[in-house]
Amino acid sequence: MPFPRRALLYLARKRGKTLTLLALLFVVAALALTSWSIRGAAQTAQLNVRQALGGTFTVEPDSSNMSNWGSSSVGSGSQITFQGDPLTADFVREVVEGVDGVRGGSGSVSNVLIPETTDGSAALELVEGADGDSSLAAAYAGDDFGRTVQFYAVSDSAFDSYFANGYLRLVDGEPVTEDSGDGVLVSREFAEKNGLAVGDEFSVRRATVHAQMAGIDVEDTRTRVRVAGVFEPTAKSQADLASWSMDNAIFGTISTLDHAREGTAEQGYDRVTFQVDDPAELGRITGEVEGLDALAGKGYLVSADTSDVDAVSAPLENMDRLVTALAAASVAVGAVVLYLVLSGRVRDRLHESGVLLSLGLSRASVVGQYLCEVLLVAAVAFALAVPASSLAARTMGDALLGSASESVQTGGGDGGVSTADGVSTVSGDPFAPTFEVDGASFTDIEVEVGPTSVAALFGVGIGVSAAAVLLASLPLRRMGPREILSTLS
Amino acid sequence: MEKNPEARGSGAPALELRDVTYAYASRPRLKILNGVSASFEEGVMYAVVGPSGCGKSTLLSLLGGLDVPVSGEVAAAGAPLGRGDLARHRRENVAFVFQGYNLVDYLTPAENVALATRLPALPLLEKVGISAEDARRSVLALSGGQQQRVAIARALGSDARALLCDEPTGSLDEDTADEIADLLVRAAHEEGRCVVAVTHSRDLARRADRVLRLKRGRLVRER
Ligand SMILES: Nc1ncnc2c1ncn2[C@@H]1O[C@H](COP(=O)(O)OP(=O)(O)OP(=O)(O)O)[C@@H](O)[C@H]1O
Ligand SMILES: [Mg+2]
Repeated sequence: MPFPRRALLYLARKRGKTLTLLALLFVVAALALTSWSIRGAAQTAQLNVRQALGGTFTVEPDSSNMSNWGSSSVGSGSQITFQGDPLTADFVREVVEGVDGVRGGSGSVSNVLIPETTDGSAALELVEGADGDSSLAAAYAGDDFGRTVQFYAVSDSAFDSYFANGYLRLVDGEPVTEDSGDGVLVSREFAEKNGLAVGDEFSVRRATVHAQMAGIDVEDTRTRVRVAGVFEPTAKSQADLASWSMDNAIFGTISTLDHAREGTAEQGYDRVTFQVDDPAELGRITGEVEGLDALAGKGYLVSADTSDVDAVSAPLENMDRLVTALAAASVAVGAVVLYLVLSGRVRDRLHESGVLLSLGLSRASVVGQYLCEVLLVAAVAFALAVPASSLAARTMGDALLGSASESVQTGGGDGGVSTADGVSTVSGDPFAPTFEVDGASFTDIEVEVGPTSVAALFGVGIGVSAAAVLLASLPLRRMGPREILSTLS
Repeated sequence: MEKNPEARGSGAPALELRDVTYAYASRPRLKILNGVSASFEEGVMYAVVGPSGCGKSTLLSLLGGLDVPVSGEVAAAGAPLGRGDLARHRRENVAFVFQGYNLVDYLTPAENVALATRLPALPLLEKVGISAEDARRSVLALSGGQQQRVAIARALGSDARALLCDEPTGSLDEDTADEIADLLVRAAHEEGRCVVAVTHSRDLARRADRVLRLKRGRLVRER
């Protein structure tokens, strides 16, 4: 009788022992496969987070070194300005072309302006803010300052941190660059409220109080703008003044802002935000940027803030470690338990082995039968473990990734400040609107038991099972047939 | 039954011990067999008797190729056995029948017989009095006597010229032991096998053609 047939008869007739072994192998395999699959999902989530949030660095005048700054009088007051070379679109180009791995960048400087009809005869309607600081609003109740909105002069809106980090999405028209002249981007809600479409015109001017401080006529600050594109926020935002919310924000060129507020172009951008291809390379890239002629020793500060990425990644990394340990532990414990169970069984079957050997069967045939039995059961157990752990991985993975992303606190790109309630400001500007960030979107990942995991399970599982059988059969190889047969009596 | 040992057998020695000395490695001074020479012929039933612990089972394991002597040699059909011949010797020349627990418990009687032979199992089992119905039941459902019959059927199914039995009736009642003894005698006389039965049972020894007593390492012919 060939040994595979003996193996089949054993499995069929010793049903209790077969089922015990099946259950053991199933549990170990399902545990390992489940944790392995969740691990894969956690790693994908980390990658998504890095790609979504990471890879930003900022260049701005170093405000901690006052030797680069000087004060000058403007109208009735005075202001402190940076004395070094201004940050310009040329500078942005130089960095993007001069350093490998920089995808793009955009300078940014903002001020508050009032949007009105082209001839200035009527103010444009603003989107009602959710809940701004009402005391601040009350302070400007009698003033046109209460009608100001944030105007962002950018050198390339596509790489502006709001757009690059996905807080805003262009839904119509084109991005604005320094070559866009009077082109601006407005929000869809603002455009709808005022019946504006791409190509339509309106005007912006400074607030009366600002014009008075600068000692100029408000009408001289009025400049005509043209809608070049329409954007939509992807997350809820909040600002100190209701009118400063992102829904009322206008993105335009520095020449437009300079018309309303003379001197802006000469001073250049407040900061430039760069996007990189691979966040892992941030260290090298910022090092190279600091060494560029355009920057070296000119009082600029280059900063890469990965704290946002880290904040999102940390819980995912912990989970990764946890499930990796779980997978390793289940394989290790499984192997040990399997060895103990199998060696116990081989000992129990020493007598049977003796009978078979006395009949002239070879040791290889006896061990081959045990191997065959375990591998057949293992194959069935592993096959059952695949759908079971697929189900388990999906439910457990969703729950785990969900709780990991709940503890995630995200911020925006350039020096964004993360706060405990998951609210973040996107630019360094303290008056800039803040966004509520949905961490779940980064971890919204299908947890799947992939074909490679299944192949690995069968490979490792069959290997471990075979090793356990061979190890457990060692006494059989060491003992002579006479010693084995002495167990007969 | 007529007893004429000299007339029985073909005279061809199935197994021989030639000046065999044996001691266990753990007690090398204690010679369990001390210069034993003996010849076991086909068609003859031998009984080996002696006090407990004298070395009867050891003698059987040397004859069956389960172990090798310290000095001297064991020969099968006239050819001495080397270490490399043992597995083949066990498979082709000898068949064992033990006191009990001879069978693989998850196999039926028919399957147990099939472990050792390609011959159809049912006729072999019928020859030892196991019905076709019993042949397909679990061996655990058989009595001790029936189990021993299955073991003998399995031994008879093999081509082995020698049947080596260690206390084949040890755990059986008198009547059943008698039936087993009949089967062994028939194996020797009708099938021409060489049967060596180690036993404490006087009844079984009485049925043998020759009786050998093992005493202080020597094998002495009693009858
Ligand atoms: N593996 C072993 N190692 C060392 N000594 C052993 C071993 N097996 C048996 N012996 C010893 O060898 C002697 C002979 O043993 P053996 O089993 O051949 O006796 P026996 O005549 O068959 O006894 P019994 O009638 O009780 O079955 C005994 O003293 C026994 O203790
Ligand atoms: Mg004995």
